[in-house]
Amino acid sequence: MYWKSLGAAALIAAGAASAEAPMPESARSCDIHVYPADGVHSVGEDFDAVKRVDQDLRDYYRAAGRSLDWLTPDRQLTLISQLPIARLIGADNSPTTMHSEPLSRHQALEPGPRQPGAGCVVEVMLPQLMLERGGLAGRSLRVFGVVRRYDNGALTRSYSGFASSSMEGFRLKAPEDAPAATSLVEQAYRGAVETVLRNSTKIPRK
Amino acid sequence: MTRKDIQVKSLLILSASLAALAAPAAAQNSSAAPAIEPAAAEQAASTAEPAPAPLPVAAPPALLATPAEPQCELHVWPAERFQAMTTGWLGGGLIDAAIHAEGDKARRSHLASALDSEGQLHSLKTLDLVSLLHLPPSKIVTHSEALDRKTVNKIKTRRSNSTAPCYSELIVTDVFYHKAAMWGRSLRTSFMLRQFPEGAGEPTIRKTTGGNGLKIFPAKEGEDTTAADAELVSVFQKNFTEAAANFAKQSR
Repeated sequence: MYWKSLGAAALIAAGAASAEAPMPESARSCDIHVYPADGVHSVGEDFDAVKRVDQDLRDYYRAAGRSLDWLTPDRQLTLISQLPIARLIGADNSPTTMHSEPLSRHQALEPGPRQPGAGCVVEVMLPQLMLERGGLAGRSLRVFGVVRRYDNGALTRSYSGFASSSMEGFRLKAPEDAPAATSLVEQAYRGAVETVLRNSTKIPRK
Repeated sequence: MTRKDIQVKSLLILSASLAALAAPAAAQNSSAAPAIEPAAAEQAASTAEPAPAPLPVAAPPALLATPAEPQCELHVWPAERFQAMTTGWLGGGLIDAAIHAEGDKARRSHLASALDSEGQLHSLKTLDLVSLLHLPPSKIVTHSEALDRKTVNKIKTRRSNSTAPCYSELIVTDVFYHKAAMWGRSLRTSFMLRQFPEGAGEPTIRKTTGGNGLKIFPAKEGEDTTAADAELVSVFQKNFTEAAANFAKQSR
C-alpha cells in the first residue's frame, strides 16, 4: 500500500512537472504574418558628392532605359516565400500569412500586435530596403526588420535591426545589364532578410 | 435694538472690514496672473491649432466654441542628404576614408533609415516648434518629399503653393554623423529658417546647425537597434532646439 501510494504520488509529481516545463519554442506552432516594404530606396556617395536619397536608383533605371521596379511589395513576398521563414525565426511548422500592404518604418515600430489572436503570433515586418554604396565602399543591400512575437496577446520577444548583403559584381551601365543586375539585387535581398530573421532569434548580449 | 441684533451688526462690520483688507491681495493676485499667460500661449502655439484670439466677454457661445484658424503657416521639409565620416588617428584623408569606408556606408544607411523623412518630421512635430522658433501662432504643415538640396539656396520664393499672408519655412538641409578618434561620436544637423514678409518681398533667411554627442549610436549589425535609434532621434531633437536658440541669437 505504501509503495503504491508513493508510486502514484511520483506519477502525479512527474505529470505536474511535465505540464510546467516549457516546450521548446521550435516545437510550438505560431501564426506568422509577414509585411513587406513599399519598395527599395538608395543612399550613397561618390568621391566628390553626397547622393540624394534614391538618386542612385534613378540613375540605374535611366541606364536600363526603363523603370525596373525592383523589389515591389509583391516581388518581396515572392522572394520571402522562397525562404524557410518559420525555421529561421524558430517557430517550425507554423502557417505563414503574407500581407500585400506595405508598412513604413514608423508603422512597423508602432506598438502592436497588428494581428489580434490567441496563442502564438509572430509578426515579421521588413519596412525598409536600401541600396547603399560609398566612394570607396562596395554596393550592398540593407534590410531593416522588426520581428515581434506575441503569446496570447502579450509581447514576449521583440527585435528590430538590420542586415546587409553584398552586391559584388553589380553592373548597370546599359539596358542589357538589367537582368543580371536585377538578379543580384534579389539575391542580396534574400540574403539580407535571412540574416535579419536569424538575428531576431539570438539572445541579446548584456 | 436687542443684544442679538448688536452682535449680528458688529459681525457684519467685521466681515466688511476683513473683505476690504483682503481686496488689495486679490488685486495683486489678479495682476500676477498675466505673467503666466505667455507660457500658456507658448504651449498653445506648439500645437497646430493655437490659442484662440481674445474674444469679447459678451461673445455668443457658438463663437467661443470654434477657435480661429491661425493666419500664419510654418512649412517643414526633411533632409534627404546623409553623411557619415570617421576620422581615425590618421586624422582624415584618403587612407583614413578607405579604412572606414564600409563602416561609414553602413552608418549612413542607418542614419537614413532611422531619420527617414517620416521619422524627421515626426520627431520635429513632437517639439514646440512655433515657440522654439519664436513665431506667431502658426499652423504647421509638413512635407514628406524633401527639397532638392541644390535648389535650397538658389530659390528665394516660397517652396509651397501656400498664399498665407504670414508664412515661414523650416528646412532640414543636412544630417551629418562624425566619429573622431579624439572626440568621439556626434550628430550634426543643419537647418534653414525662411520667413516671408507679407507681400512679395524676399524672405529673411537664417541658417545654422546644432550638434550633440552620441553614446549608443550606431548599433552593430545583428544587434537590436531600438536604443541606438531612440538616441539618434533624441539627439536630432536636441540639435533642433540648439539651432532654434541660434536662430533667436541671429535675429537680435
